[in-house]
Amino acid sequence: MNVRQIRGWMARFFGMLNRGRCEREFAEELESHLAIHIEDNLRAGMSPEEARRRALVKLGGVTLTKELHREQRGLPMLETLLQDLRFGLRMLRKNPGFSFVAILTLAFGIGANTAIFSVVNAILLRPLAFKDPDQLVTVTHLYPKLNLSAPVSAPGFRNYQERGNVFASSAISTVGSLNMTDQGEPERIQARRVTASFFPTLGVEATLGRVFLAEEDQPGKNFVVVLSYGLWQRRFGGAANILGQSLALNGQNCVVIGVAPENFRLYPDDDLWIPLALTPEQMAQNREYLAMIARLKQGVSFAQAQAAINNVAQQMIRETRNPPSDDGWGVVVKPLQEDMVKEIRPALLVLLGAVGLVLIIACANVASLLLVRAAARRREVAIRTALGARPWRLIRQLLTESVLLALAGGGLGLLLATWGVKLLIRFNANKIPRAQEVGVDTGILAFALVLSVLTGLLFGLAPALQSSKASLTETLKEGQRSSYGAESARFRSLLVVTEIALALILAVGAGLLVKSFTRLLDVDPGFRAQNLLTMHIALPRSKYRDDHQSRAFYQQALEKVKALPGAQAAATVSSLPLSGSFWSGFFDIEGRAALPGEQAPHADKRAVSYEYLQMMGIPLRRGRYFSEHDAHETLKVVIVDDALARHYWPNEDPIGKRISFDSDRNGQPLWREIVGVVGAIKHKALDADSRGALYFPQLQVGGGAERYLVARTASAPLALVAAVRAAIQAVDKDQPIYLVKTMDEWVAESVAQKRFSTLLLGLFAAVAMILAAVGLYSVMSYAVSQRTHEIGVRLALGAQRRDVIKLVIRQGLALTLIGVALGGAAALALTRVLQNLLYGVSATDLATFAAVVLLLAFVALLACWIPARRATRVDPMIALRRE
Amino acid sequence: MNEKTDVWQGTLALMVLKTLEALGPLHGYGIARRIEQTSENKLAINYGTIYPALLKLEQEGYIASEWGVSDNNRKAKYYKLTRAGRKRLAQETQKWETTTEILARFFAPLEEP
Repeated sequence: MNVRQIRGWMARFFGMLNRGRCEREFAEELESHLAIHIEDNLRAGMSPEEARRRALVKLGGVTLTKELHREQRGLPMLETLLQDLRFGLRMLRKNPGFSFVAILTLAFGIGANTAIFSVVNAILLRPLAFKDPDQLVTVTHLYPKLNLSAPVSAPGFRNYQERGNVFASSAISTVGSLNMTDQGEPERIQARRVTASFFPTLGVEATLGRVFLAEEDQPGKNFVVVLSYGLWQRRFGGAANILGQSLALNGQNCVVIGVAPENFRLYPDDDLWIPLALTPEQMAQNREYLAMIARLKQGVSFAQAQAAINNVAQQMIRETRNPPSDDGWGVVVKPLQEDMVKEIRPALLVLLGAVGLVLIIACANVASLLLVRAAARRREVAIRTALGARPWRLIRQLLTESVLLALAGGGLGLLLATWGVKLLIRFNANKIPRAQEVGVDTGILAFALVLSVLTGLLFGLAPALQSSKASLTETLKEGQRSSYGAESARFRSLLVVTEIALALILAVGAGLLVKSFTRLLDVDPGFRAQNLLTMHIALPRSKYRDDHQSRAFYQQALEKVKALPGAQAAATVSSLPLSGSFWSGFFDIEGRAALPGEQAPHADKRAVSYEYLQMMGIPLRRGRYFSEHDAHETLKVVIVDDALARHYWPNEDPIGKRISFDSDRNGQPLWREIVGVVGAIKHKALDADSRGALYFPQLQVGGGAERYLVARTASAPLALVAAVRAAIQAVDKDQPIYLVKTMDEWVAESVAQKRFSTLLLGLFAAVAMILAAVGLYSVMSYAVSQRTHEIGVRLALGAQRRDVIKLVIRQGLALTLIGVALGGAAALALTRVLQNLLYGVSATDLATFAAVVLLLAFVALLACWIPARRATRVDPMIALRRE
Repeated sequence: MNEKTDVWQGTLALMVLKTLEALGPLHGYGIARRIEQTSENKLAINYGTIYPALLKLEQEGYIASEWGVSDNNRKAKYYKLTRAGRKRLAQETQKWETTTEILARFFAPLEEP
């Protein structure tokens, strides 16, 4: 385009803006043109009328000239678009009811979709915020026969790194809690001990200071810490001079050398990191307690890495003196991201599917609404076509209206989504991995926009095309009945049937989840969970150097707590039920050597104070509970739960038998006698049965510096917290208590995720049903208005109101039944998908199906009722006159 | 259809420019009248079609407009050539003459051997 042309376009652009003025000026110019021409004609001798007529003819028509001039003046395409927009807005404003319902429907459909998609995107799809995150893997040990995965051991770590030859770098870590006592209140923080390779493997650099050096990863040199961003802000106020400051961790002074970046949230509960600094003895220890992450070498695939590691595992099995059976133990390499989100993935995907269905229903509803409106505007369209409007122009105008609706709905929906995402996260931040990363971002914005416009075009298209195809003469006639009307009505009926079917599917899914959830809540955990106050205590090794000292502490602590008014009993346990903590291991049964090919016996291990089992209300099946006489020097005893007893002693009495899970100083197995059998409890989750548990007195094993203290209170447990804390600090003033919760809170937390999914799906199902009802209502309304004449005739001929109502409802119920039948069949096929999320309920539970069908039928009946009643109020005289 | 219109519009624009060069500033009616006369009435155009052409020329900067008074004391909008217009006219004239010259050779009677 040369300069002149550009100038031309710009002039046209300004001409468009100055439309009014240009119009007036040209009118003047035309007037003057005609005047001059007429004068010339007069001078040539014509009569005034002739002069004028000739001038006009020669001009070629005033209107046409103005039209031609106007086209040249502005940017016609842009102007028509603006015109369409203005017209569309005006039409929407003129029908506020329709616009309101349509926009809200769309807003909810698009809003819900965007909110869930944001969550799914952040958690499942978006790569982790590390360098090349798809190269990162976790390495774990797997006991397939036990369906148990475990962390790796230190020798294992060394072997995989060195012999596997597939990792560019790798790191291990283990998490524990420490008491931080520098200024103010002692605080218990979660600390992760990591190898120096931890941060470099992830590709994370300190946002302040630095990360660990290799030489700091040695015993005696590891008194340095890297703070988490959260801890730095929370406890130290984000002070810029934090580097070089000293902290006391479990009495040991450590220096702060760095702060991790804000978006580093691999283990979001970690407060700080310390070098792991394993001694050579610890490096050779076969204990499995280390979490391993690694970065694959360039060009190595997951399959190759897994194969290589399998080889190393086989080598290791051959090299050990007492190998577990070949297929009893393996090593698994998994992508890091998958590992982080595996628990929540199924639920999230189901929700995504549900939301998709809601969007379809929303679109169907709006399409139906638009069809009705199109029918109402048939005459307008016919007249405009008769006046010469081109069909493309009409289509474009109708499409513009739809797109406007969609954009308004999408805008409102985006608002709803932002608000909704915030709400979702606030409710569930603890239980959703990567929750902090979720937000409505530009990608979601684009998604919402595209979705809006697509739905606008999609549901604007059908009515728009139908409108313009209308036969001219037919619609110009006053008659209401036409083939076009019937076709449109059929399509709308189809839409309603689809909506009802989809709503049924959603409602069945929600119903199943609700039933499953209530079943879950009804589960007896195996102990009395009410009025239990729980807390975690971790004694620092620096202060409590041996078992004797920690035993003394807990004995005094328990005495003091039991003495509190309001406390009925107190005890300690190594892992609290439903808290996520657990301890398990292999054991040997006296007189039974493990056969080759057989899995060695394995169970949960729980070290308890003698009062624990009784206090928790765990029933005694056989034998006896522990007593204060089961102490350090007396006969070593254990109590098993009945799951273990049934599994290993199905036809015998386990009382008196002996088991061993550790050895004495000379390497000989320490045999412990079974003295009792108690009921099994739900330890891992309410829907997970016990895998067998061994209880033993804490006094008869080593360790026990970290325990859960549990107190049975007379009434509200939380009222006792301050008193308990004071009692603990009376024993040791520097000892904090941590994770203070009632048992009821732990129970609720353990089902939090399920509650969340159930709630959401229920919400979607409710919305779907309402939308379907609205759709049905509008179809029935319209049907009634179409049949007003017929109804009038019937009434005039003596039909009762009752008959009219029956007439309308019959039509509505027919649609409902078809929808329910289709939906029911589809639901039977689809709810299989939910089976993994259900507890105690089959995916084809007929009771639920029946209940939902009845509910939907009732709602549909309501939706038909109002139009039916309106039908009875038809005045036959008016109806007959109206054509 | 469009091509024909384009060619016609181009020709009309040229005629307008030439007229303004010959007669100086003139109003729309005058220009249209003059074009008709120059073609010895072989070109019968609707006067109205002159206005889009004038507007386009003005938008592209080849002519400029100004309200003035006609001989009979009537208010009228006068158009005159701009420098760009003059240059364009010269270019087009040159092109036209070259074309005519080349074509003339084709249409000239064959030389007798």
